[in-house]
Amino acid sequence: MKIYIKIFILLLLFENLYSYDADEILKKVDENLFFETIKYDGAMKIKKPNRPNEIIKTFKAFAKGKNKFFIEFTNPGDRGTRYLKLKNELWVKGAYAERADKISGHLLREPMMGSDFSYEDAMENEKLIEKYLPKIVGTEIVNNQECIKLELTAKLKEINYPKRILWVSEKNFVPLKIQYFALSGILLKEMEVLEIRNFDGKYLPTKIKMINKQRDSYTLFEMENVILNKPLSDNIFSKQKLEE
Amino acid sequence: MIIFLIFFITTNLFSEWNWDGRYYHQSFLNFFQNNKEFEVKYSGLNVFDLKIDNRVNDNLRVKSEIEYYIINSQKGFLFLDKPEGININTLNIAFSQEKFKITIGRFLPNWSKSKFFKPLDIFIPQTYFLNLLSFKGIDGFSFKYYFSALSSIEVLTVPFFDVRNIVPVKNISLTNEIQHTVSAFNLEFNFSSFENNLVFLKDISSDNNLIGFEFKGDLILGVWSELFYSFNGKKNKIFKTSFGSDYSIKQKYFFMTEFFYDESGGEKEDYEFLRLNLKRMTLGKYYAMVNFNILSENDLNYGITYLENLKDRSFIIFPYLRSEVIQNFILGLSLYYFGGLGETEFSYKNFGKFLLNCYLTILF
Repeated sequence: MKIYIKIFILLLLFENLYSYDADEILKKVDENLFFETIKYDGAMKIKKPNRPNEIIKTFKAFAKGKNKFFIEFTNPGDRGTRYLKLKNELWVKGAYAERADKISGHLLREPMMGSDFSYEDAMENEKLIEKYLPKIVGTEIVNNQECIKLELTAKLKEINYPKRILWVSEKNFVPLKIQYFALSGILLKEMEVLEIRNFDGKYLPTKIKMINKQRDSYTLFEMENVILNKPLSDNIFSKQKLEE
Repeated sequence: MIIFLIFFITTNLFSEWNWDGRYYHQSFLNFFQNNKEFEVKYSGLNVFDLKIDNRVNDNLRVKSEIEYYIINSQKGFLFLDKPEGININTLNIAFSQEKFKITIGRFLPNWSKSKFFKPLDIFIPQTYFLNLLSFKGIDGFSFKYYFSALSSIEVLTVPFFDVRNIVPVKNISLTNEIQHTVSAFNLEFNFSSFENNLVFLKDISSDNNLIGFEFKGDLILGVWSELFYSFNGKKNKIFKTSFGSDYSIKQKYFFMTEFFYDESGGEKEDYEFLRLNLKRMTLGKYYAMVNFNILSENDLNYGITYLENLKDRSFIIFPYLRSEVIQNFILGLSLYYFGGLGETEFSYKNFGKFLLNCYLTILF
């Protein structure tokens, strides 16, 4: 009898695991990474090949939904540099500038503040399910956690990364690892989640390592003093704040 | 300015304040060749720059950027009136509320969207190929009203402004400053993915006027343009325009091009005369610039720029590189070659054949 119960429990677990199809898993990933508002102190530690030391950039970040973000850098050398993103557009005000400048066209593909995140990475605001067709390709263990391996193929032509592979934690539906591929199939970047914190039931990656596979560099991104889903004034997300 | 300085010093005592410093050095080596003789001339400039931001409260700020410069030698390219001195580039009081900002004092209104040729940068006429970092602001009053997150109107008045850049006169060298009172507005609005500005400036002391329009946005390429039209009565009018675009491949290779037309430019025989106006950025009428830039590993940024006066066919070609060797320690190098037949704009005797520009910036 005990053996039947064990088999039944195992079946239940297995059933639960695969009760989600690829679309549902990706929707859960999107849900987990979506927040009303967020405010945090951030740091980027940028390590370049053949450089002994990391470059450290610190900043204060504010975001509302996926369409609005505002960053102000606070480290010496960059203090006063601010970025404003509204929908798909981005503005920057340099540390010594009085006025904001729109980052247009192909400059958006440049690395942001010398990091391994491009402006386009930082501006990504659509849900993954809207841009990609997901397919479950297996399960693997990442950071001692069982993960569902999802392969995403772009629905759109004009896209930064035509293919992505996600390792999604079965426990909390947070992607623990993401690989970003070019159209040619070359692996461009790899993202590893090093720390996840639970904020009132929402799992948020607070420490991320983005590795640029082409340049052999990486950026360690850390969030501290995170405040989630507390009201933020719309005035923060304006040119006035940028040019303050 | 003294009152501002006192206010600035006293606010330090009871407000939250931040400071940032910058040291930069520029070396210029001019290489001249006359027949078989070869001559090298050196100019060097050191600048210590301090930026201070006093936040008296949430609405009131006092900001300044003050620099101390020393010239090592100015035998070659560099020319400044005094070998050393202090420049107050900005020093202003800004009061802001939810929708507006008032600035009084010395500030830098940057009204341009172009990368190289900036006809609408009327308040900060910049050199277009040297790596200069700091500019002196204008003394005036500005009121800026933000009627949405991205749209605003700025109205400013400058009691004493050198209007040589906006006087609608063709082919003339205005060597002495012409200080007039000007008022201007700049309406900024967004349309689709385009940021647009409508500019109007009125020279109150005479009847010079300027209307300008500029935009920057995205099509398949990044595109931008500036239109400048200054007029005084029906007869005197000058039109200038610049337009450009950029494109990148694999987030590593960047192409940029810009064209410039300046109706006030002269012919070859006028250049000597036009050079007397140190505020003139270019002497001719038609220009093209092409830039190819590579962003490599370790943030080594290098590329080549070609600039041509399309009428007299003289040109400057300059490869350059720039690298942040360690954090906040930036080194750069540019080598300019001046080409052209005879005495043209860029094959000018005082430029020499080559110019090597090395610069170092330390941020702290």
